[in-house]
Amino acid sequence: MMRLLILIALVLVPTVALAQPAPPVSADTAATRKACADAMNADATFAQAIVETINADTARQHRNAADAISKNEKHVFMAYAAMWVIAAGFLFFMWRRQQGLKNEIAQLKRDLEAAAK
Amino acid sequence: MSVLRHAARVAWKDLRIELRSKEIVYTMAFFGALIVVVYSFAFPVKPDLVRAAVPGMLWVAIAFAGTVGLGRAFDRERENDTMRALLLAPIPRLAVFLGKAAAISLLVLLVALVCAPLLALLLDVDLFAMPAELLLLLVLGAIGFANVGSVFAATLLKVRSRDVLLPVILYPILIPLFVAGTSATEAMIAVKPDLDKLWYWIGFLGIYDAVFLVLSMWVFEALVIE
Amino acid sequence: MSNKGIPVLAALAAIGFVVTIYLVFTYAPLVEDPVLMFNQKIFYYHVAHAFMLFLATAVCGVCSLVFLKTRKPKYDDLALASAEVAAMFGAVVLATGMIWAKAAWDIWWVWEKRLTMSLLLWLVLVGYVLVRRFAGSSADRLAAGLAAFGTVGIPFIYFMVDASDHHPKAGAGGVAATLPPEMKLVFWLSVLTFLLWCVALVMSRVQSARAERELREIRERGLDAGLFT
Repeated sequence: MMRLLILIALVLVPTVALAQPAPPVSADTAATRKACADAMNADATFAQAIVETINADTARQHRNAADAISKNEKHVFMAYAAMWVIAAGFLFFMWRRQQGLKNEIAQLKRDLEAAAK
Repeated sequence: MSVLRHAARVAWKDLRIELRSKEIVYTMAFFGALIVVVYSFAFPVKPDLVRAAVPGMLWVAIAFAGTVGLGRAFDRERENDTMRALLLAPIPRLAVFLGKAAAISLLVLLVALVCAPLLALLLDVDLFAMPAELLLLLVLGAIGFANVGSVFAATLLKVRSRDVLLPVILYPILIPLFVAGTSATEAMIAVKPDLDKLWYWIGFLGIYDAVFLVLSMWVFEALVIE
Repeated sequence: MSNKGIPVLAALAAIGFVVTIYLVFTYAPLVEDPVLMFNQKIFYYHVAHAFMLFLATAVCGVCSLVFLKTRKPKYDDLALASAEVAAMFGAVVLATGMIWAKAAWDIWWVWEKRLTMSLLLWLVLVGYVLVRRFAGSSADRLAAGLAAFGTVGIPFIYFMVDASDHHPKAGAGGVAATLPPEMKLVFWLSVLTFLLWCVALVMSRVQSARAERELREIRERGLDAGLFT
């Protein structure tokens, strides 16, 4: 029963999604555009204000993006951390080796003493 | 020149053993063919895809089948410790190496000559558009493979885990050879064959073989003597 | 090689770490590249490690050849030590290279030429370490052969990667050549730091390799003399 429900859901969801009507294409885009152009042509200061606003907005967006990147310390942090982790791993490996050597020396000493007896 | 004569004798000894049992030739060729068939199932056979994938398939098949044959060829010398006898024989050790490498490059070439037509047949690729160049390429590839392979297979003879260590050692060294072979084959079977590229890679392989042959001849003795 | 040099070198390297990290984040300017910017700071460690990778590999290859020809164990110790250190530096190069690729091109791995070369070289070094570990009594000869062949193969890898159009190319093309002087100073300072670090690691690894070998020989001598069972 559960499986049947899942199956129905699986079939239904895309069908419903596909059946959604496409967003209507605005027929009066051209008309709006023409009205705006006319208004800007009629009043020079209005046009100037719009251009300045847009320019300021673009500049602000660029500045924000640059700030975001220059403050994006994640990757730099990751890279430096990776270096330290790998170096620490190598040092740990060398330390383990050193311990093994110490054990071996102790073992040799014990064997020697046993043999000397 | 006596080195070359002794080398030829060693190679002829190996080939005669092989001609009697035909063990390596048959199993290697069949293994190569199997790899090709498995590839034909592993990749969808579409004309443009096949053209891009076949060069790689050919050289990977050579690499795998070659490694198997190489291991077996040297196992034969191990079974009765005949490698020691060969090295103790009153001939230059260089001749032993050259003979072994020559015999193995013939075997590898044979496998390549089985795999190439099979690939062309099964995947419908015109591999033999330039037969002379293809042959030259395969000969150079086989020589390079057998040369580096013989050095390390001979050194690995007494090592317990030689079967896994052989590819571990061999493939990192042989990567340039396989890439050169693949790129040259690719240039050869392209819709518009790129002759400049083809000859660049053939030259690359030639220099690769020469350099590693000299290096192998130089260090072989130091490597195999305990 | 004496014992005393190692702490001095390690201390100098430690001072170098502190100084370079400070300079990297305060003195070195940001690059004008709109994508990299701050991430360019990965470069100072990444490239310095890559230099050490190639240096240590070359030392390993040359020592291996000398060992094969002379059979003097001290060259073997040096080859083993530099191979392991090179493998460590190679791991750092690959890790930081991947992070660089993620920052610059938003993808974890690109077949950038120098990164590809480092990868192929690193595979030889990993093979070397594996051979050392699993090849039993002939490990020294086998590993020396692998190192010699691998080092001789470096030019081939270079030309192969250069000419092969197998992989789509991406590149930070010539970052090192066009550095402003402040960056250059910091960069070479970090190279010097890691050179000291590298030498200190190799030296101490040589010592443990030699100690291991001597212990092995002592035990064998003891066994021969019938002292141990």
